[in-house]
Amino acid sequence: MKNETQYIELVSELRNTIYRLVLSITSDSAEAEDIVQDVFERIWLIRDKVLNSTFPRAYACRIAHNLAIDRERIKKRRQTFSVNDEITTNDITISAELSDIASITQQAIASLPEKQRLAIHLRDVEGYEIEEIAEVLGCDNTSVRMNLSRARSSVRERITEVLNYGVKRY
Amino acid sequence: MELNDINRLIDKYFEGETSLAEQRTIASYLATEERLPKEHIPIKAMFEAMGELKTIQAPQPQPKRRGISLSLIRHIAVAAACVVAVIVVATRTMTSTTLHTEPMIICYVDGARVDDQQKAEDEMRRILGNMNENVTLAMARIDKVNLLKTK
Repeated sequence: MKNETQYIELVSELRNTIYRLVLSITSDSAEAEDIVQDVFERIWLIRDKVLNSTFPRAYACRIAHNLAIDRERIKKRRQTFSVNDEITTNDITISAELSDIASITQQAIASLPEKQRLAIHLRDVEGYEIEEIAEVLGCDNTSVRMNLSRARSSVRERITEVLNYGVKRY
Repeated sequence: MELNDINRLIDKYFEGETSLAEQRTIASYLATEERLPKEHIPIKAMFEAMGELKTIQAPQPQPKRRGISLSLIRHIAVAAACVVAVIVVATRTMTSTTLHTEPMIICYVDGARVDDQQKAEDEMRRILGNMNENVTLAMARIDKVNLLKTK
């Protein structure tokens, strides 16, 4: 019973976070919704483990990240073998309701290597502590900071390009 | 805040070393400072963008459709098509086999087997016709006898 209450609280707290995290990987809101439901189903199945971990929300983010990455891999494999289907790319605006610069930033983050993308998203968008991010990435705090540094520099470079020279496609 | 201090904080940010509180300080400076140095403009855009990304909300959860998944429907359709194909092929094979190897009518004429269906049917009609004629004649004779008896 206590676990159920804690699980519900975790879901309420993390629903938007997990959605944003997954969206940053899939770039497809319908798919992100689907994955979010799968994530919470999975967390339900191992709720004792998640709730008793040092950083429950980091654990949840890790599950979400892994699920989203797996789905993307499967999607890319299907696109490679598809003959007639149009191959979609990541250079379309992910969220139409965001401002141009936010869309560009979102795309810049989406194009980063996996660990850098996760680090900057969890720190600068979600406000996670370095230790939590280390838990999600499966590395130490120093590596997290290094990934953050590289990610932020890349994103700043991209935004500077856009502001100086206008919108460019990747 | 002094420009030198903010520059130091921003450098620290890009080294990945700032605390969340320090990041909030940077954000606050960038949001409120009216005359930003040129090099801080992209950083301001970056911070604003991150803030905006945080506003994305998950849509309201819909009840997950519990039922047969699309891939399972596909598998079932393929399996059903195979079963139908097998039945059609088997039926046609059986029918074809029946027509060509199992004659419907067999008869023997003067001791010889007749497999040709048309010839067998003709022979059958001839025999039945003869039988009919003979029965009619016999019935007529019986009637005649009965008539003679009553007179």
